[in-house]
Amino acid sequence: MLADVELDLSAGEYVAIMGESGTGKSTLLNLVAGLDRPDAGTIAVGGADLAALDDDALTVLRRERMGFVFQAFHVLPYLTVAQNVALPLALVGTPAGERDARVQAMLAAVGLGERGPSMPRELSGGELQRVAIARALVHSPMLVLADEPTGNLDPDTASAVLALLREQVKGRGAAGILVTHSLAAAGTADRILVLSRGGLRERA
Amino acid sequence: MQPVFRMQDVARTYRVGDVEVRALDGVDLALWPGEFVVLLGPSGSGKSTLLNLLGGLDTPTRGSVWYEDHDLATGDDASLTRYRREHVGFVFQFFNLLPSLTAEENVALVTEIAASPMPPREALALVGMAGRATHFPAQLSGGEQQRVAIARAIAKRPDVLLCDEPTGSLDAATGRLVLAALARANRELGTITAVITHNAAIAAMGDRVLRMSSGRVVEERRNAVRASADELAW
Amino acid sequence: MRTLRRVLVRDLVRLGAQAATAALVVACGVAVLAGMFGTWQALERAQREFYAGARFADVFASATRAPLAVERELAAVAGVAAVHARVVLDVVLDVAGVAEPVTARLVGVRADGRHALNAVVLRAGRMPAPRSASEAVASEAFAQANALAPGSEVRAVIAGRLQRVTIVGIGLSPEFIYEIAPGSVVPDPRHFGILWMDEHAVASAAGREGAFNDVAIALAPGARADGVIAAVDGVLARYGGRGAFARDDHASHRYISDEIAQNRVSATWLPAVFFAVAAFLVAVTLVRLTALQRMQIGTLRAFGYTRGEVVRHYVAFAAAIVAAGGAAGFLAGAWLGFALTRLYRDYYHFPSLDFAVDARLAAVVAGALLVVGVAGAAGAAVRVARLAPAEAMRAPVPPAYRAGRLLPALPASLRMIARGIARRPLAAAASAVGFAVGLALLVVGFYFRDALEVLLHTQFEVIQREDVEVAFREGVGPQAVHALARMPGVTRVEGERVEPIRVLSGHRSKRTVLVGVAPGAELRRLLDRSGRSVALPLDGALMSAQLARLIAVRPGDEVDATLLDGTQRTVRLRVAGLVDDWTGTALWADIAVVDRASGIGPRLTGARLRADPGALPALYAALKETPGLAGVSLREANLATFRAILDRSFAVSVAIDIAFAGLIAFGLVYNGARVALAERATELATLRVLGFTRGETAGLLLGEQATLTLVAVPLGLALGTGLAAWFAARLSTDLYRVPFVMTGATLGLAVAVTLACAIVSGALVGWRVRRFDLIAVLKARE
Ligand SMILES: Nc1ncnc2c1ncn2[C@@H]1O[C@H](COP(=O)(O)OP(=O)(O)OP(=O)(O)O)[C@@H](O)[C@H]1O
Ligand SMILES: Nc1ncnc2c1ncn2[C@@H]1O[C@H](COP(=O)(O)OP(=O)(O)OP(=O)(O)O)[C@@H](O)[C@H]1O
Ligand SMILES: [Mg+2]
Ligand SMILES: [Mg+2]
Repeated sequence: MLADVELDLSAGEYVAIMGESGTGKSTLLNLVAGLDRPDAGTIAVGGADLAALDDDALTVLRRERMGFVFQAFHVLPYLTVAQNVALPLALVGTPAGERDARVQAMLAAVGLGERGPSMPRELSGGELQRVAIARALVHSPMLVLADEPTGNLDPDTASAVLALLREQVKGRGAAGILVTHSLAAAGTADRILVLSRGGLRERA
Repeated sequence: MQPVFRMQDVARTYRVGDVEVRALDGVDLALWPGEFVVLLGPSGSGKSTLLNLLGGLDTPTRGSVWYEDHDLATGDDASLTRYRREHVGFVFQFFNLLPSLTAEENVALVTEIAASPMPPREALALVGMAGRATHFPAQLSGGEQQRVAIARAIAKRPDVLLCDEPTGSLDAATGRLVLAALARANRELGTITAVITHNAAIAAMGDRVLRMSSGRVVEERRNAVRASADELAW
Repeated sequence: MRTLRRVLVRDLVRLGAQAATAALVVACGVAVLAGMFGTWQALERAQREFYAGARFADVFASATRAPLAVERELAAVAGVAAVHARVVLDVVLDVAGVAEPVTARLVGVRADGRHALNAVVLRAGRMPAPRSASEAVASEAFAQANALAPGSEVRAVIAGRLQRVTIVGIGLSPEFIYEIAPGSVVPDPRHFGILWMDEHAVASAAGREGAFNDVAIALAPGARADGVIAAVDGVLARYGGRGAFARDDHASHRYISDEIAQNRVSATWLPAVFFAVAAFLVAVTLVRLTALQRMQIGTLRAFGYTRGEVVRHYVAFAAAIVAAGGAAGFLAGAWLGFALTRLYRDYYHFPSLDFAVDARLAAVVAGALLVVGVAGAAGAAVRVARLAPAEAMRAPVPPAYRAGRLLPALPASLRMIARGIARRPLAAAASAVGFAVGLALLVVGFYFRDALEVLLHTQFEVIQREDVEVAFREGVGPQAVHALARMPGVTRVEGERVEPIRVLSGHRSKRTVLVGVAPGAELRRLLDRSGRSVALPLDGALMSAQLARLIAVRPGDEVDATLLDGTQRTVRLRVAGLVDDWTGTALWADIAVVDRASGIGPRLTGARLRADPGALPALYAALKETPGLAGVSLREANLATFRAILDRSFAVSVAIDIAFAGLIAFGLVYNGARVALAERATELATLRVLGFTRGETAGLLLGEQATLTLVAVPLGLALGTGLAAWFAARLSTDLYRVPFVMTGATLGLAVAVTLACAIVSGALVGWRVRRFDLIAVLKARE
C-alpha cells in the first residue's frame, strides 16, 4: 500500500504531509507511532529502531514522547472533557495539582476553557476535535502526530489551533507531522511533503 | 413559488445539569425548490443542530419546522420516520457507516427502502469508490469512508440532501469529485441540498450562503453565479 | 430488508462469542428440560400403562390365615370389583455366587399367571408348571443382580427343609416395581427378590393349604377406598387381619410415586431455574448489544428505518440465539432422555420405559423457548424503541459518578477500575449477577450430590450400627436372642418387635409401624434434628418428624395407636419426642411398651446383630440354614448394592445437572467477559494509543472483571445456598425428607469451578486484548 517512503525529521522540525484520499497518510502516521508495523523498511524514533522494540517498549515511547490526534478523535465518551485531556498526564504520573493547571491551560488554548466539566456527548464535532488536540499536546510530547486536526474546524478556529500546534512543536524543539488536506493548514509547517503512489516528495 | 422548508423562530436548547445550552436561538429560514445552500459558521454555532431539525432527526424546543405539508416540529416518531425515509438523504459529520457491512451494502441499506434509487455500485462510482465496493469500513481510509457515506446519501435520489462537512477528510481533487456529484444531483433531480462546511471556497458553489453564529443565522448571501465544482480550489 | 438481515448475520458472526454463550445457556436449559421432562413423562406413562395392563390392585391386606372361601366374602363387599387372594411367604435363599444370605418373597400364582389383579408379566421363560414345588419365576431386578436366567437354580429353606428351586422364567409385577425388603429403606435386588411359585406349593410351604394370607382388591369405579378398607378389616379381623391399606401405603407404589414426583421437580423446577438464567442472559446480552450499537441504531433510524423495523432487527437477534440454543438443546435433550431412560430401566422395573419425543414435549419446550425469547428480547426492544435518532447518535449519558472522591487512598489503577465499574453500573451488575448465578447453580448441583451422600451416610453409618438384621417369620420369644448370640462371630444381639399400627391424632391417621426397641439398644440410633441421639422414654414413644408433620402432632401430644395384628387393640401413646431420620414414618418405643400394648406377652419379630468381621462368612452360612427366618438384611451389602444402583441412575442425573450447571456457569462468565470486551474495545484501543501498555489495558478490563467476580462470590454462595434449601424442600416427600446440607467443601468446590471459568474467560479475553488490531478497532467504531 505504502511504498518507497523516506522521511527524516529532526528536533524542532515540523512538516506537513498532503496527498489524495487513500494514499496512506494515516498509515504512515500509524507506522511512526508504532501502532502498525511495516512490511519492509525501518523506522527509527529518537534513535530507537521501532522494529527492535517490543510492544511494551513501544508503548512507553508513545506514552512519554508522542502526542497523537486521530482523524476520528476517539475522545472517551464517559470521561469529562477535562478528564480526557488529563489522561496522558495521569499516565506519566504528573502530580494532581500541576495536572489540573496544565489541562486548564491547554483547554483554554483550544478555546474550550469553559467546557472542562462537559461530557463529550454535549460537544459539537469541532469542539470534540479540539479536545483531541488538547489531549495530544498536554504532556508536551517530543513528537506530535496530527491526522487531519482541522477537518471539522472553521477557518478562524483552525488557524488558532494550527498556531498552537506550531508553537508546541517549535517552541520546545520537538518534532511534528501534520497530515492535512488544506493548503492553508499545510502552510503553517516548515515544509510540505506530498504522498502519492510514487512515494513521499517535497511539494514543488 | 412556495418554500419547501419553512422554519420559524426555531430554538433548540439542551439542559446540562442546571445550565441551559442554546444550540439554536431563534432561527427563521426558508429553503426553496432546487436550492443549494451552504452553511458556514464557527465550531459550535449550531450548524449540525439545524441540520438535524431539517432532517427530522430532532425536534425544536420552540418554533415551527415545516417540510411541504409535513410538520417536523411536532410530528410523531412514525411520521418523522416516514419523512426521512421518503425524502431525506444524510451525510453525517462522523460518516456513521455500519461496521458489519461492506461499502456497497452500506449503500444498499438505504437504497433498499427508497422509492427510486440508483444501483449502489453506480453511486459508489460517482464518488470514485467503485473499486472498493466489497471493503468493510475498517479497511477504508478516513476519506474513503466519507465518500461511501456520500454515495449512500445520493444513491436514494432524495428530495432533500443534508451534508454535514462532506469534504472535511478529503483532498482538493477528491473533494471536487464529490461536490460535483452533489451538484449533479441538485441540478438533475432538483434535490434541495444543504451543505455544512468550514471551507469557504465551497461557498461559491451554493445558490445561497448562510453564516451562523451562536445559534443564529447572522449573515445571508446570494451568489449571482454558482461556481462549478471543478473551479474550486483549496 | 435484505441488507438488514445481512447485518444480523454478520453481527451474529462478529459477536459470535456473546451470541454463542447465550445460545449455550439456552441450550443447557432446553436440554435439561427436554431430557428430564421427557424422562419424567416416560416414567409416568410407564407406571400408568403397567398398572392398567397388569391390573394393579387398589387395596391390599394380609392376614394370618383366612380360608379360601373368605375370598368370595370379600368380593361381595360393596365397592369391590375384583379380589385376588394368595399366599405369600418370606424365605432365606442360598444363591450361587452370593456369600451372604438372600431373602426372597415367595408369592403364589396360578399356572397361567392371569390373575384378576397384579398379573405377572413374563419377560423370559414360562410360568411354573401347575403344582410344581421346584419351579419359580424370578423378579427381573433380582434375576439381573444375581445373574439368574431360566435354568438357574437357587436353594431355599422352605418349611424347614432345604430345597432346590429352578428358575423357569423372569417376570415383572406392578406390586414389586420397587423391590424393597421389609424394614429396609433402600432396594437391594442382590439380596432381596420375588419368586413367583405355584400357589399350592407356596401354600403348603407356608402351611396354609386351602387358605390365604394376602389379598389384593380392585375397587369398583367410583368406590372409596376408606369404606372398602373398613369392610375388609371387618371381614379379616377373625383371621388375624393386619389392616387393609390403599395404594398410598403400598411400599412399591409409594416409593415409585415419590420418586416420580422427585423426577417431576428436576423435570420442571430445575429447568425453570436454568431457563430463568437463560432469559436473564439473553436479555442482558441484548440490552448490552443495543447499548453498544447506539450509533448503528441511530443511523438506521436516521435513514428512515422505522422503529418497528429496528426493533424487529434486535428481536431477530434474540430469536436467532434462542432458536439456535433451542435446536441444539432439543437434540441434546432428546439424546439425554434416551440415555437416562435406558439407565433408569435398571432401576425402575417396568415392562417398557421409553423416552418419546412427542407433541407434548415439543410443545413444552417451544413454550419455554417462547417465554425466554420474549423475556430476553423485551428489555432491548423497549430500549431501542425509546431511543430517538439524534440521541442515539450521541454517546449515552453516563451515570453521575462521585465515588472517585471517596476512594482517594486507592492507587490510580484501582481507582480506574472502580471508576470503570461505577460508570457502567448496569453492565457491571449484569456481569456480577451472571457470575453469582453461575456459582449458585454449581452450589445447587454439588448440593444434590451431597444430599445423596448425607442420606446414605446417615442411614448406613450413623443410624444403622448393626452388621446383620434378621426378621423372624412368626413372632418368637425373647429367648431367640440367645440362639442368635451363639451363632458364629456374633458379639451383640438386640431383639426388636415391629408391629404394624394405624396412628390416629384427631381426624388424621396414618398406617405405619411401631418399633419396640430393647432397653439399652445401641445398634439402631434414633437421632434428633441436629443429629444427636435421642433416648427412648420408659413410657410413651418417639415419633418420626415426618409422621408428626403429616398428622400434625407435637411432642407432648398423645396419639392413639391401633395394632393391626388382628387384635385391633388400641393404646394411647404420649409422643415424648421426635426422631428426625430422612426416611420413613415410624414410631419407636421401649419394647416393654409394645409388649404391653399388644397384650400378647414378650415377643420379637426381628433382631439386629453385630459380628466379628472375620467371622461373617461363617455367620452368613449359618443364617442361610436357619429355619424360621423370613429375611436377613446386611448393612454393608445393602449399602454397596444400593450405591451401585445409584451410581448408574441418580448419580448420573445429578452428574448431568452438575455438568449443565458448569456449562451454564462458564457461559455466563465468558459471556460477561466478552460483552465487556466488546463494549470497551474502542476505549481500550484508544488508551493503548495514548500509552497504556498491553498489560495495563488487559489489566484494566480483567481487573474490573476480577473485582466484579469477588463481589459476586458471596452473592452467589448466598443465592446457591438459598436455592439448595428451596430444592431440598421441593424434593422432600412423605417418605423421604431430603436433607439440606451445605458443606464448606461444596461451597469451596463451586467457587473453585466458577473461578476456574472466570480465569479461563479472563485468559481468553486477555489474549484477545493482547492481539488487538488497534487500527481496525479504532476505525470500526460502532
Ligand atoms: N446533547 C447536547 N447537550 C448539550 N449541549 C449540546 C448538545 N449537542 C450540542 N450541544 C451544544 O450545542 C452547540 C451547537 O452544537 P452543534 O453540534 O450544532 O455545532 P456545530 O455548529 O455543528 O459545530 P461543529 O462545526 O463544531 O460541528 C455546541 O456548543 C454544543 O456544545
Ligand atoms: N485494513 C485494511 N485493509 C485493506 N486496506 C486498507 C486497510 N487499512 C487501510 N487500507 C487502505 O490503505 C490505503 C491508505 O489508507 P490511509 O488510511 O493511510 O489513507 P489516508 O492517506 O490517511 O487517506 P485519507 O486522507 O482518506 O484519510 C487506503 O486506500 C485504505 O483503503
Ligand atoms: Mg487518513
Ligand atoms: Mg457539527
